[in-house]
Amino acid sequence: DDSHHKAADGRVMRVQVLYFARARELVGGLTREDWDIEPGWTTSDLQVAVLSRHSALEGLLRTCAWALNEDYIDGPAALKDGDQLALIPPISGG
Amino acid sequence: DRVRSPAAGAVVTFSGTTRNSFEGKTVLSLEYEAYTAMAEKELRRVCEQVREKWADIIHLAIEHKTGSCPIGDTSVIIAVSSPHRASALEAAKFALDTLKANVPIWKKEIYAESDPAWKANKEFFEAHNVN
Repeated sequence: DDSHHKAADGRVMRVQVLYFARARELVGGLTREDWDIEPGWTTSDLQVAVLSRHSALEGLLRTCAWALNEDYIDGPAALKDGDQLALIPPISGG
Repeated sequence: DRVRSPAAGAVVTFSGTTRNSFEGKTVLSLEYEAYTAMAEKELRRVCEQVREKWADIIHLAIEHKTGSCPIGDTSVIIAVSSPHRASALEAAKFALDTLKANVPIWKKEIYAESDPAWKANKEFFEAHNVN
């Protein structure tokens, strides 16, 4: 598949953004979204791009956490091909 | 039953049950959504943390329901066994508090008189330093 050849060359990386709960509702029901990004992008770059594409998320974003590959992150992290960045709205389990 | 042991003098079980009202509003039902892979990872972390803090815990089990949950049903169970009651009681409370702070599960309340609402645990805001 072409996108994987590009990633191996280091020119484009494909990552996924995951949406849950209120975030999922605000992006029209989307649960996962593929992003082709440039090498060197951090999670912060991707977060800015997500807000740009989905401006309806703005109010909610302030209350959210983010998780990279199923672990919470508390600051910018480097991204690599195949990474999953999840937007975590305030949780309510238990 | 999963946590019973001949070495246990105490088995503590906590069940979270769905109640029919919130701030005067009638709750008809609840829905739980989970980021399953990460929720399982975080639940395992809760268990590891419990064992680090209370070395005498024998068994520990946590289960959370996903999907729709009618009123009166159990949404979460935490069961823990230890030789004496203090550890099991404290560990169960800690497990619940930590679950509420970290495990990516979301609850939506469906009301009789107003629009549904996604709930938010205060423990999440405290743990993740958000507004």
